[in-house]
Amino acid sequence: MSVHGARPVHGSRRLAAVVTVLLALVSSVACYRAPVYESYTVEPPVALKDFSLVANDREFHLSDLRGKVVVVYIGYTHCPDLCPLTMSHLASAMELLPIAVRDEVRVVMVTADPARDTAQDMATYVHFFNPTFIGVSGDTEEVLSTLHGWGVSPECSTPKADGSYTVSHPATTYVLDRAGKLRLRMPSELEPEAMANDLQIIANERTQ
Amino acid sequence: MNPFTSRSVTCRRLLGACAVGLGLLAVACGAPQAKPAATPSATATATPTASPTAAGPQITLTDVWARATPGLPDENSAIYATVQNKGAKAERIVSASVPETITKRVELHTMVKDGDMMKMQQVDGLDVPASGTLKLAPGGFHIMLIGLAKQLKVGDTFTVTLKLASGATVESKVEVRAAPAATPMSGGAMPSGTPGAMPAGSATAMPMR
Repeated sequence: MSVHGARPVHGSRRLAAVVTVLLALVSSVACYRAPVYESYTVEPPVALKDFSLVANDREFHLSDLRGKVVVVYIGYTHCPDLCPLTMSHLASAMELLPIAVRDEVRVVMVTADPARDTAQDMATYVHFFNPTFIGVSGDTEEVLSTLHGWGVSPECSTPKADGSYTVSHPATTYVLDRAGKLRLRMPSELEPEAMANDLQIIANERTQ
Repeated sequence: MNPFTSRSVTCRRLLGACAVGLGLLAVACGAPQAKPAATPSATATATPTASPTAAGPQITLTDVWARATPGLPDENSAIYATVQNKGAKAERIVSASVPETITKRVELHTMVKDGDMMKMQQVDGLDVPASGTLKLAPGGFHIMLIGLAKQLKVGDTFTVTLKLASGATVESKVEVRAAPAATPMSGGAMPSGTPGAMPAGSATAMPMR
Protein backbone atom coordinates (compact mmCIF):
# COMPACT_ATOMS: atom_id res chain seq x y z
CA MET A 1 0.00 0.00 0.00
CA SER A 2 1.43 3.38 -1.00
CA VAL A 3 1.90 6.20 1.43
CA HIS A 4 -0.31 8.42 -0.67
CA GLY A 5 -3.01 5.85 -0.88
CA ALA A 6 -2.91 5.45 2.88
CA ARG A 7 -3.47 9.09 3.69
CA PRO A 8 -7.23 9.23 3.23
CA VAL A 9 -7.47 6.20 5.49
CA HIS A 10 -5.42 7.91 8.15
CA GLY A 11 -7.56 10.98 7.71
CA SER A 12 -10.79 9.13 8.28
CA ARG A 13 -9.21 7.33 11.25
CA ARG A 14 -8.28 10.68 12.70
CA LEU A 15 -11.84 11.87 12.22
CA ALA A 16 -13.09 8.75 13.95
CA ALA A 17 -10.65 9.40 16.77
CA VAL A 18 -11.88 12.98 17.13
CA VAL A 19 -15.50 11.83 17.15
CA THR A 20 -14.61 9.22 19.76
CA VAL A 21 -12.98 11.80 21.98
CA LEU A 22 -15.95 14.14 21.57
CA LEU A 23 -18.35 11.35 22.43
CA ALA A 24 -16.17 10.44 25.39
CA LEU A 25 -16.40 14.00 26.67
CA VAL A 26 -20.14 14.23 26.08
CA SER A 27 -20.75 10.85 27.63
CA SER A 28 -18.64 11.59 30.68
CA VAL A 29 -20.60 14.79 31.20
CA ALA A 30 -23.93 13.09 30.52
CA CYS A 31 -23.13 10.20 32.84
CA TYR A 32 -21.41 12.21 35.52
CA ARG A 33 -24.50 12.83 37.63
CA ALA A 34 -24.86 9.15 38.48
CA PRO A 35 -22.34 7.57 40.88
CA VAL A 36 -20.55 4.49 39.62
CA TYR A 37 -20.85 2.58 42.87
CA GLU A 38 -23.68 2.40 45.34
CA SER A 39 -21.15 1.60 48.08
CA TYR A 40 -18.52 3.80 49.68
CA THR A 41 -15.27 3.63 47.76
CA VAL A 42 -11.95 3.25 49.56
CA GLU A 43 -9.38 5.68 48.14
CA PRO A 44 -6.66 4.70 47.75
CA PRO A 45 -7.40 0.96 47.88
CA VAL A 46 -5.57 -0.75 50.72
CA ALA A 47 -4.62 -4.38 51.21
CA LEU A 48 -6.60 -6.10 53.97
CA LYS A 49 -4.13 -7.89 56.25
CA ASP A 50 -4.12 -11.64 55.69
CA PHE A 51 -5.10 -14.12 58.39
CA SER A 52 -4.67 -17.79 59.20
CA LEU A 53 -7.95 -18.97 60.74
CA VAL A 54 -10.38 -21.87 60.28
CA ALA A 55 -13.15 -22.44 57.71
CA ASN A 56 -14.89 -25.71 56.83
CA ASP A 57 -12.62 -27.63 59.25
CA ARG A 58 -9.46 -26.46 57.54
CA GLU A 59 -6.87 -23.78 57.96
CA PHE A 60 -7.97 -20.88 55.86
CA HIS A 61 -6.24 -17.71 54.73
CA LEU A 62 -7.81 -14.67 53.16
CA SER A 63 -5.06 -14.88 50.54
CA ASP A 64 -6.41 -18.31 49.48
CA LEU A 65 -9.04 -16.34 47.56
CA ARG A 66 -6.63 -14.08 45.69
CA GLY A 67 -7.81 -13.74 42.11
CA LYS A 68 -11.46 -13.64 43.15
CA VAL A 69 -13.59 -10.71 44.18
CA VAL A 70 -14.01 -11.24 47.94
CA VAL A 71 -16.81 -9.93 50.12
CA VAL A 72 -15.88 -9.87 53.81
CA TYR A 73 -18.60 -9.47 56.41
CA ILE A 74 -17.86 -9.30 60.13
CA GLY A 75 -20.77 -10.43 62.31
CA TYR A 76 -21.86 -13.15 64.73
CA THR A 77 -24.31 -16.01 64.76
CA HIS A 78 -26.31 -14.78 67.79
CA CYS A 79 -27.07 -11.56 65.93
CA PRO A 80 -30.83 -11.61 65.29
CA ASP A 81 -31.23 -8.63 63.03
CA LEU A 82 -28.45 -7.04 61.00
CA CYS A 83 -26.29 -10.13 60.33
CA PRO A 84 -29.09 -12.27 58.87
CA LEU A 85 -30.31 -9.23 56.95
CA THR A 86 -26.88 -8.68 55.41
CA MET A 87 -26.33 -12.40 54.76
CA SER A 88 -29.68 -12.75 53.04
CA HIS A 89 -29.04 -9.62 50.99
CA LEU A 90 -25.67 -11.02 49.93
CA ALA A 91 -27.32 -14.33 49.03
CA SER A 92 -29.91 -12.47 46.94
CA ALA A 93 -27.19 -10.36 45.33
CA MET A 94 -25.35 -13.54 44.30
CA GLU A 95 -28.55 -14.87 42.73
CA LEU A 96 -28.87 -11.64 40.76
CA LEU A 97 -25.40 -12.01 39.27
CA PRO A 98 -24.92 -13.87 36.01
CA ILE A 99 -23.44 -17.29 36.77
CA ALA A 100 -20.10 -16.49 35.17
CA VAL A 101 -19.72 -13.44 37.40
CA ARG A 102 -21.08 -15.24 40.48
CA ASP A 103 -18.26 -17.76 40.18
CA GLU A 104 -15.78 -14.91 40.42
CA VAL A 105 -17.15 -13.73 43.77
CA ARG A 106 -16.58 -15.30 47.19
CA VAL A 107 -18.47 -14.29 50.33
CA VAL A 108 -16.65 -14.68 53.65
CA MET A 109 -18.14 -14.04 57.09
CA VAL A 110 -15.64 -13.65 59.92
CA THR A 111 -17.03 -13.90 63.43
CA ALA A 112 -16.95 -10.85 65.68
CA ASP A 113 -17.72 -13.20 68.59
CA PRO A 114 -15.02 -15.93 68.54
CA ALA A 115 -15.69 -16.79 72.18
CA ARG A 116 -19.07 -18.28 71.20
CA ASP A 117 -18.86 -18.96 67.47
CA THR A 118 -16.89 -22.06 66.53
CA ALA A 119 -15.78 -22.57 62.95
CA GLN A 120 -18.49 -25.23 62.70
CA ASP A 121 -21.12 -22.74 63.93
CA MET A 122 -19.94 -20.27 61.31
CA ALA A 123 -20.17 -22.88 58.56
CA THR A 124 -23.70 -23.90 59.60
CA TYR A 125 -24.73 -20.26 59.80
CA VAL A 126 -23.46 -19.08 56.42
CA HIS A 127 -24.51 -22.24 54.58
CA PHE A 128 -28.07 -21.56 55.71
CA PHE A 129 -27.98 -18.52 53.43
CA ASN A 130 -25.82 -19.86 50.61
CA PRO A 131 -23.87 -23.15 50.49
CA THR A 132 -20.89 -21.45 48.84
CA PHE A 133 -20.46 -18.84 51.58
CA ILE A 134 -17.41 -19.30 53.80
CA GLY A 135 -17.77 -18.97 57.59
CA VAL A 136 -14.56 -18.19 59.48
CA SER A 137 -13.64 -18.48 63.16
CA GLY A 138 -10.71 -19.90 65.11
CA ASP A 139 -8.73 -19.25 68.23
CA THR A 140 -10.31 -16.29 70.05
CA GLU A 141 -7.08 -14.33 70.31
CA GLU A 142 -6.18 -14.92 66.69
CA VAL A 143 -9.60 -13.85 65.44
CA LEU A 144 -9.56 -10.70 67.55
CA SER A 145 -5.99 -9.93 66.51
CA THR A 146 -7.06 -10.23 62.85
CA LEU A 147 -10.00 -7.88 63.41
CA HIS A 148 -7.84 -5.40 65.33
CA GLY A 149 -5.41 -5.46 62.40
CA TRP A 150 -8.31 -4.31 60.23
CA GLY A 151 -9.15 -1.53 62.67
CA VAL A 152 -12.21 -3.35 64.00
CA SER A 153 -12.76 -3.73 67.75
CA PRO A 154 -15.98 -5.60 68.52
CA GLU A 155 -17.38 -4.86 71.95
CA CYS A 156 -19.55 -7.25 73.93
CA SER A 157 -22.42 -5.92 76.01
CA THR A 158 -22.51 -6.76 79.72
CA PRO A 159 -23.88 -10.30 79.93
CA LYS A 160 -27.37 -10.67 81.39
CA ALA A 161 -28.24 -13.09 84.18
CA ASP A 162 -28.76 -15.84 81.60
CA GLY A 163 -25.34 -15.18 80.07
CA SER A 164 -26.66 -13.68 76.85
CA TYR A 165 -24.87 -10.70 75.38
CA THR A 166 -24.71 -8.79 72.11
CA VAL A 167 -21.65 -7.74 70.13
CA SER A 168 -20.99 -4.59 68.14
CA HIS A 169 -19.75 -5.10 64.62
CA PRO A 170 -18.93 -2.96 61.55
CA ALA A 171 -21.75 -1.16 59.79
CA THR A 172 -20.22 -1.91 56.41
CA THR A 173 -19.28 -4.99 54.42
CA TYR A 174 -15.89 -5.03 52.70
CA VAL A 175 -15.37 -5.74 49.02
CA LEU A 176 -11.86 -6.74 47.93
CA ASP A 177 -10.78 -6.80 44.32
CA ARG A 178 -8.92 -9.66 42.67
CA ALA A 179 -5.60 -8.28 43.92
CA GLY A 180 -6.84 -8.44 47.51
CA LYS A 181 -7.21 -4.67 47.84
CA LEU A 182 -10.08 -3.23 49.84
CA ARG A 183 -12.07 -1.23 47.31
CA LEU A 184 -15.60 -0.79 48.60
CA ARG A 185 -17.46 -0.67 51.87
CA MET A 186 -21.10 -1.63 51.39
CA PRO A 187 -23.48 -0.08 53.93
CA SER A 188 -25.57 -2.65 55.78
CA GLU A 189 -28.80 -1.17 54.45
CA LEU A 190 -27.74 -1.61 50.81
CA GLU A 191 -30.27 -3.59 48.80
CA PRO A 192 -29.28 -6.76 46.89
CA GLU A 193 -29.66 -5.03 43.52
CA ALA A 194 -27.16 -2.36 44.52
CA MET A 195 -24.77 -4.95 45.96
CA ALA A 196 -24.96 -6.97 42.74
CA ASN A 197 -24.36 -3.84 40.69
CA ASP A 198 -21.18 -3.01 42.60
CA LEU A 199 -19.88 -6.58 42.68
CA GLN A 200 -20.39 -6.87 38.95
CA ILE A 201 -18.38 -3.72 38.28
CA ILE A 202 -15.45 -4.96 40.39
CA ALA A 203 -15.67 -8.47 38.91
CA ASN A 204 -15.60 -7.12 35.35
CA GLU A 205 -12.43 -5.09 35.87
CA ARG A 206 -9.99 -7.75 34.65
CA THR A 207 -11.78 -8.34 31.39
CA GLN A 208 -12.05 -4.73 30.28
CA MET B 1 -35.35 -3.98 36.29
CA ASN B 2 -31.85 -4.82 35.17
CA PRO B 3 -29.41 -3.47 37.72
CA PHE B 4 -26.41 -4.26 35.60
CA THR B 5 -26.73 -1.62 32.94
CA SER B 6 -24.68 0.58 35.19
CA ARG B 7 -23.66 3.95 33.89
CA SER B 8 -19.96 3.30 33.87
CA VAL B 9 -20.17 0.06 31.95
CA THR B 10 -22.69 1.43 29.49
CA CYS B 11 -20.73 4.57 28.88
CA ARG B 12 -17.44 2.77 28.45
CA ARG B 13 -19.01 0.57 25.83
CA LEU B 14 -20.32 3.59 24.01
CA LEU B 15 -16.86 5.07 23.79
CA GLY B 16 -15.80 2.19 21.61
CA ALA B 17 -18.86 2.44 19.43
CA CYS B 18 -18.66 6.02 18.25
CA ALA B 19 -20.86 5.27 15.25
CA VAL B 20 -23.80 4.72 17.54
CA GLY B 21 -24.15 8.45 18.04
CA LEU B 22 -25.68 10.77 20.53
CA GLY B 23 -29.17 9.37 20.29
CA LEU B 24 -28.21 6.08 21.91
CA LEU B 25 -26.02 7.92 24.36
CA ALA B 26 -28.98 9.91 25.53
CA VAL B 27 -30.95 6.72 25.94
CA ALA B 28 -28.17 4.96 27.82
CA CYS B 29 -27.17 7.76 30.12
CA GLY B 30 -30.39 9.68 30.37
CA ALA B 31 -32.32 6.84 31.95
CA PRO B 32 -32.92 7.52 35.61
CA GLN B 33 -31.05 5.25 37.95
CA ALA B 34 -33.22 2.38 39.10
CA LYS B 35 -33.42 2.63 42.85
CA PRO B 36 -34.11 -0.53 44.78
CA ALA B 37 -37.31 -0.96 46.69
CA ALA B 38 -37.46 0.46 50.18
CA THR B 39 -37.23 -2.19 52.87
CA PRO B 40 -37.35 -5.97 52.68
CA SER B 41 -40.48 -6.03 54.79
CA ALA B 42 -42.19 -3.69 52.37
CA THR B 43 -41.93 -6.32 49.67
CA ALA B 44 -43.73 -8.94 51.71
CA THR B 45 -47.43 -9.46 51.32
CA ALA B 46 -49.41 -7.80 54.04
CA THR B 47 -51.54 -10.25 55.92
CA PRO B 48 -53.78 -8.60 58.46
CA THR B 49 -53.97 -11.05 61.29
CA ALA B 50 -54.28 -8.96 64.40
CA SER B 51 -57.43 -7.80 66.07
CA PRO B 52 -57.45 -5.21 68.83
CA THR B 53 -59.03 -6.27 72.07
CA ALA B 54 -62.65 -5.25 72.33
CA ALA B 55 -63.15 -1.56 73.08
CA GLY B 56 -59.39 -1.34 73.60
CA PRO B 57 -56.68 0.46 71.72
CA GLN B 58 -56.98 0.92 67.99
CA ILE B 59 -53.75 -0.94 67.28
CA THR B 60 -53.48 -3.30 64.34
CA LEU B 61 -50.51 -5.32 63.18
CA THR B 62 -49.88 -6.26 59.58
CA ASP B 63 -47.04 -8.01 57.77
CA VAL B 64 -46.00 -9.75 61.00
CA TRP B 65 -43.07 -12.11 60.48
CA ALA B 66 -40.07 -13.63 62.20
CA ARG B 67 -36.84 -14.57 60.50
CA ALA B 68 -36.16 -18.27 59.95
CA THR B 69 -33.05 -19.53 61.75
CA PRO B 70 -30.19 -21.88 60.74
CA GLY B 71 -30.78 -24.28 63.64
CA LEU B 72 -27.78 -23.55 65.86
CA PRO B 73 -28.09 -24.12 69.61
CA ASP B 74 -29.24 -21.14 71.68
CA GLU B 75 -29.99 -19.03 68.61
CA ASN B 76 -31.86 -15.76 68.35
CA SER B 77 -34.34 -14.26 65.94
CA ALA B 78 -36.49 -11.18 65.57
CA ILE B 79 -40.10 -10.30 64.87
CA TYR B 80 -40.94 -7.51 62.43
CA ALA B 81 -44.31 -5.88 61.73
CA THR B 82 -46.12 -2.78 60.70
CA VAL B 83 -47.94 -1.40 63.73
CA GLN B 84 -50.77 0.97 62.95
CA ASN B 85 -52.55 3.12 65.48
CA LYS B 86 -55.97 4.22 64.26
CA GLY B 87 -56.82 5.86 67.55
CA ALA B 88 -56.54 9.54 68.43
CA LYS B 89 -54.22 8.73 71.34
CA ALA B 90 -50.55 7.74 71.09
CA GLU B 91 -49.80 4.24 72.31
CA ARG B 92 -46.66 2.68 73.72
CA ILE B 93 -45.70 -0.99 73.48
CA VAL B 94 -43.90 -1.85 76.72
CA SER B 95 -43.30 -5.57 76.28
CA ALA B 96 -43.92 -8.54 74.05
CA SER B 97 -44.27 -12.25 74.66
CA VAL B 98 -44.49 -15.45 72.64
CA PRO B 99 -45.36 -19.02 73.67
CA GLU B 100 -42.73 -20.71 75.81
CA THR B 101 -42.36 -23.34 73.12
CA ILE B 102 -40.68 -20.56 71.13
CA THR B 103 -38.84 -18.77 73.95
CA LYS B 104 -39.39 -17.19 77.35
CA ARG B 105 -37.04 -14.34 76.63
CA VAL B 106 -38.38 -11.52 74.49
CA GLU B 107 -36.99 -7.98 74.38
CA LEU B 108 -37.66 -4.79 72.46
CA HIS B 109 -34.57 -3.64 70.57
CA THR B 110 -33.26 -1.17 68.08
CA MET B 111 -29.98 -0.83 66.18
CA VAL B 112 -27.72 2.13 66.86
CA LYS B 113 -24.65 3.27 64.99
CA ASP B 114 -21.61 3.93 67.11
CA GLY B 115 -18.89 5.37 64.89
CA ASP B 116 -18.45 2.76 62.17
CA MET B 117 -19.89 0.04 64.37
CA MET B 118 -23.49 -1.14 64.72
CA LYS B 119 -24.84 -2.42 67.97
CA MET B 120 -28.15 -3.50 69.33
CA GLN B 121 -29.76 -1.57 72.11
CA GLN B 122 -32.63 -2.65 74.28
CA VAL B 123 -35.44 -0.09 74.52
CA ASP B 124 -38.05 0.37 77.27
CA GLY B 125 -40.89 0.82 74.85
CA LEU B 126 -41.94 1.41 71.27
CA ASP B 127 -44.10 4.46 70.61
CA VAL B 128 -46.87 4.34 68.05
CA PRO B 129 -48.07 7.87 67.30
CA ALA B 130 -51.77 8.75 67.25
CA SER B 131 -53.22 8.04 63.81
CA GLY B 132 -49.76 6.88 62.83
CA THR B 133 -47.62 3.88 62.02
CA LEU B 134 -44.52 2.31 63.54
CA LYS B 135 -42.44 0.05 61.35
CA LEU B 136 -40.52 -2.79 62.92
CA ALA B 137 -38.05 -3.64 60.18
CA PRO B 138 -34.62 -5.25 59.74
CA GLY B 139 -31.88 -2.85 60.73
CA GLY B 140 -34.16 -0.90 63.05
CA PHE B 141 -36.75 -1.55 65.75
CA HIS B 142 -37.48 -5.23 66.31
CA ILE B 143 -38.83 -7.67 68.85
CA MET B 144 -35.88 -9.86 69.76
CA LEU B 145 -36.42 -13.54 70.51
CA ILE B 146 -33.54 -14.77 72.66
CA GLY B 147 -32.40 -18.36 73.15
CA LEU B 148 -34.99 -20.03 70.94
CA ALA B 149 -36.38 -23.31 72.28
CA LYS B 150 -36.56 -24.57 68.72
CA GLN B 151 -35.45 -23.69 65.23
CA LEU B 152 -37.82 -21.35 63.40
CA LYS B 153 -38.61 -22.83 60.01
CA VAL B 154 -40.20 -21.13 57.04
CA GLY B 155 -43.97 -21.51 57.23
CA ASP B 156 -44.10 -22.00 61.03
CA THR B 157 -46.56 -19.77 62.80
CA PHE B 158 -46.98 -18.67 66.40
CA THR B 159 -48.64 -15.88 68.35
CA VAL B 160 -47.05 -12.71 69.65
CA THR B 161 -48.72 -10.69 72.40
CA LEU B 162 -47.87 -7.02 72.74
CA LYS B 163 -48.54 -5.31 76.03
CA LEU B 164 -49.31 -1.60 75.90
CA ALA B 165 -48.58 1.02 78.55
CA SER B 166 -52.30 1.18 79.29
CA GLY B 167 -52.21 -2.51 80.24
CA ALA B 168 -54.20 -3.56 77.19
CA THR B 169 -52.81 -6.32 75.00
CA VAL B 170 -52.77 -6.92 71.26
CA GLU B 171 -52.31 -10.38 69.78
CA SER B 172 -51.16 -11.28 66.32
CA LYS B 173 -50.15 -14.29 64.34
CA VAL B 174 -46.47 -14.38 63.34
CA GLU B 175 -45.35 -16.13 60.19
CA VAL B 176 -41.80 -17.44 59.93
CA ARG B 177 -40.17 -16.39 56.68
CA ALA B 178 -36.78 -16.62 55.08
CA ALA B 179 -35.37 -13.37 53.89
CA PRO B 180 -37.46 -11.78 51.17
CA ALA B 181 -36.54 -13.59 48.00
CA ALA B 182 -35.00 -11.69 45.13
CA THR B 183 -36.18 -12.26 41.61
CA PRO B 184 -33.57 -14.50 40.03
CA MET B 185 -32.31 -13.26 36.72
CA SER B 186 -31.37 -15.50 33.86
CA GLY B 187 -27.66 -16.12 34.14
CA GLY B 188 -25.51 -14.92 31.31
CA ALA B 189 -28.25 -12.82 29.75
CA MET B 190 -26.69 -9.63 31.05
CA PRO B 191 -24.27 -7.41 29.23
CA SER B 192 -21.64 -8.64 31.64
CA GLY B 193 -18.69 -7.73 29.48
CA THR B 194 -16.94 -11.01 30.24
CA PRO B 195 -16.01 -12.57 26.91
CA GLY B 196 -13.99 -15.28 28.63
CA ALA B 197 -16.91 -16.49 30.68
CA MET B 198 -16.27 -19.22 33.22
CA PRO B 199 -18.01 -22.56 32.71
CA ALA B 200 -21.42 -22.45 34.31
CA GLY B 201 -20.94 -25.80 36.02
CA SER B 202 -18.23 -24.45 38.27
CA ALA B 203 -20.56 -21.92 39.89
CA THR B 204 -21.52 -24.15 42.76
CA ALA B 205 -18.07 -25.58 43.39
CA MET B 206 -16.82 -25.18 46.93
CA PRO B 207 -14.10 -22.56 47.05
CA MET B 208 -11.99 -24.38 49.61
CA ARG B 209 -10.27 -26.81 47.33
